[in-house]
Amino acid sequence: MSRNYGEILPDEVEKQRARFAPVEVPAPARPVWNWEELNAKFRPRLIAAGVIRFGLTQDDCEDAAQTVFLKVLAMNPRVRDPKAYLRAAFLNQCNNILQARERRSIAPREPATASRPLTLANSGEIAARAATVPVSSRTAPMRAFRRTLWGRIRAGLARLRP
Amino acid sequence: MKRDDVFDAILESEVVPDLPRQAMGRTLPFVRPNARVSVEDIYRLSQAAEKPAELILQAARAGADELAAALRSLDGKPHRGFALLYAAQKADKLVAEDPNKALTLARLLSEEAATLQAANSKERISTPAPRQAVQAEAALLESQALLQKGEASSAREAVRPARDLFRESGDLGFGAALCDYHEGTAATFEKEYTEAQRLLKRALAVFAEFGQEHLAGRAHAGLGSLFVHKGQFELALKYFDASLRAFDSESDAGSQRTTMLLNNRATALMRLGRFDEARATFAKALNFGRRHNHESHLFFIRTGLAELDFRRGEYRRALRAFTGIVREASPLASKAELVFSRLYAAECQARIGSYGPMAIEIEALRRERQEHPFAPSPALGELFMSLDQGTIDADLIAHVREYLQDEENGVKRAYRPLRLVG
Repeated sequence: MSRNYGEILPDEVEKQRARFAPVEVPAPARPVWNWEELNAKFRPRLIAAGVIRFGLTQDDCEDAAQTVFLKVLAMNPRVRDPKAYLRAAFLNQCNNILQARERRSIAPREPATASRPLTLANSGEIAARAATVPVSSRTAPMRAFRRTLWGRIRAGLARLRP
Repeated sequence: MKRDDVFDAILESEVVPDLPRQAMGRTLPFVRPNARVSVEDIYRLSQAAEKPAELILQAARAGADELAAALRSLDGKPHRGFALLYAAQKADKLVAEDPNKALTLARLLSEEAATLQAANSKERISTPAPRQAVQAEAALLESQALLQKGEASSAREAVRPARDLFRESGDLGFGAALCDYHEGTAATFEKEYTEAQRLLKRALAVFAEFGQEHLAGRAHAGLGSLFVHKGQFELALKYFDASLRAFDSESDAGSQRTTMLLNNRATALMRLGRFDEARATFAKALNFGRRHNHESHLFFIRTGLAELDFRRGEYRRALRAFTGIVREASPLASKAELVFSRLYAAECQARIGSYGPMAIEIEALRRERQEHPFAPSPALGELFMSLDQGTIDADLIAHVREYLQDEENGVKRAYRPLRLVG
């Protein structure tokens, strides 16, 4: 410490210095979370808000709540206002779920026959698809195969008729 | 914080709204192998980790053997991941006390975390305290320690892996904001102000969105310091005031940051010529720093007070202060700061007509020239030449000092000798 230190002090500082005890004042402890309230009261409301506001399923919202609760626990020493953190993190997580759902809905679909069972109602759609294959020397074998396949399907469906 | 009225109304409602009953529950453990672990259990794990995390920090202060023993004592404990995670997050104080120990701790925590379970980002439920989260926090700690050591570029580099690790851990935006904050702070020291401003503002927006006032306060403080460097003092004051409000609201009275914040606010006021307010704010900072034993901060406050005396024309008082700073050559003072203190002392001597002592100060600067960052500067060349020719005066010293201060603040301009300046 400089010998000149006192000389450059403003007068009021000297006065204020005298008012403080020489012991170091410990920094205030981090506020303790009210875990009971967060878990028992806030969590069900988050889940309900996710279902009502975003139309997500209860399971989706329970998973999202679980995720954000783990996140806030992982950030415990950094987070002073856990409710505000959970709220923002939950909104972001709901947004992620909605975006993932949207991505799935615009992704190219698998051929219909691969994913759903055939019924009589599908027969017209299959016929229309076979008919849309352009005629050429390269597509002829394929058209023939489609027709053969369609014939077999139609015969099978006819047997199912009551 | 962004409002969402419907969402917030449900959160604030007295009663939880009834939800339609689901036809098929899927949370039974025998139908879902990855069924949710009780949050209550994870909370208990996190609570059990608090004390071991503190013990790691104490051990890091004590030495390498103690630290190794503290880390081994966690082997096989279910709360090990949380303890490592919390140790990394709580090490701020250690950074200020001893950045080398903080650096060692950061690297050890990252190595230790290698054996933790990885984040399962593909699953619907995340892993508690996964490897990536611990390593991301360790990387942020490493960045802080490097910055404290004055290695701004390495500090910035250290944030890069933290970004990837947070992303892998399934970050929801908060981890990225922490990275922005630390990288922005390092970028300020690298004098990359545009990038620093972008990063700090982005961090501020996310901290505010997540309702963490104390972190928003830090981002405000970072932006305030940035604008001081850029010479935009009014704007800097706006950010400092917002930051102080955040710290007040958090009752973070013991914070070292409050001391530095007050010091920086006082500096901005002084540069604006608001000397009385500056003096009162320096006094408050000094009080705070003394009360909490922030030795490193007291050095900067003393330098600020000395500059204030100088700007007020109280050259004898300023001279005593600057001479003291130079004589002590505190390890906290950068080489550049010591050069400025010498130049201020020399200018004070010249202004009070003590040309002999002034020449001694400039001679000392010439002897130490190779040790400081301004060695090749033409400004110092002109100063030494004028000393030899006997034409040196206070205006020339001021001209050289202002040029070097601009250079230190990242202002790039060619040096013009005093005789060519209008």
